[in-house]
Amino acid sequence: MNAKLPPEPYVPDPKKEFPLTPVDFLMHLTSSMALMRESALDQQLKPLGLSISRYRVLGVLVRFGPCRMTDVANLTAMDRTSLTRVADHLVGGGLVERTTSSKDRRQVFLEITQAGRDAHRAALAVVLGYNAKILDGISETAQRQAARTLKVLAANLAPNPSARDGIILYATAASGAANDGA
Amino acid sequence: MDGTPQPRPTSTDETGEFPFAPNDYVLHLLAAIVMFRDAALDVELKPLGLTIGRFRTLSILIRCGPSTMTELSAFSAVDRTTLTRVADHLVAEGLVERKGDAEDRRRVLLELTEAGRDRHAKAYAVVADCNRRIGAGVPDGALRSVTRMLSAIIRNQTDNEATRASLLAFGRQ
Repeated sequence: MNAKLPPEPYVPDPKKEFPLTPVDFLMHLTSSMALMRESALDQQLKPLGLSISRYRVLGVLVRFGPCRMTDVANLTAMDRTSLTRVADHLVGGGLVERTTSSKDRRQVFLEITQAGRDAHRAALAVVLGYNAKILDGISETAQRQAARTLKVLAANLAPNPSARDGIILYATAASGAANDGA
Repeated sequence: MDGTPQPRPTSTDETGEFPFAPNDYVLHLLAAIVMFRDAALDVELKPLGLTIGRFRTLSILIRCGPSTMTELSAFSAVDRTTLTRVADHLVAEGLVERKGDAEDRRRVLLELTEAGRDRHAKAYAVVADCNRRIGAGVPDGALRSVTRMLSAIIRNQTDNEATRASLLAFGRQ
């Protein structure tokens, strides 16, 4: 590179283990990992008519039953614009239905159909297979230790407490912690 | 999970510590971290006319020097279609230039302009500040072990040697 150019702003790792400070490098790797995972899974899920975002929404509905859009947004970390597009697609494909509560007709819920359940089951095998492949060679102890650290990072980033609990506990205010494995 | 994954209605942690099996939970948290961070940075970078995708492309050009689209795609793990859209925008904004390679005129290189370098420095301050907030309260050792795990995941993710090496070096190898 030309010596006259100003120095790049990146701060090197003081311990020289990584090319950048640990948190900067971690974020670079995390974004890169997510980009590769999403494009690989989008491709693998395409024959099932799904994408990783559509799969995430189906996963929430399988686990929690009928959900409001707000709950699905909190459980998937998706923004409302993307979520609306994904929900419209799933409804159009007959995998999800929009239903209303008998108590409050204005309250709209997303509910999975039998076709949605079947699609989700097929997609789950693909996603779990990919997850196992990319975590190959990483011990369960290391995964658990990493998960504890990542919970702190996610909590530091969450835009509000509902989004934080939706992701970290995988629970909604109404559901409590969903550890039932349903 | 060992061996071939068994289709299950959902993923569970037998110890009850996490809402999913540890491997699935790690990837669930990482995906959420990226979505939270991208959403926050898209807002914070907007006054600079950038998005997280545009910032990443500028970063790779800073670190790797002038690069072809193929190199840039490999170095950034961004698909060609998305990258072309981002590059066109950066060129139109005068932050990046397309230049013929002096040795091979048919080879087109993307190169940062002075304005691109300047914009990147301003955006980097925003991104570094966001990263500091993300890591707040986490001991250095814990960040390092997660970073090592991410390096191992990336090695498992791609057989493309150029992608693997440049992602792990955050620069040209």
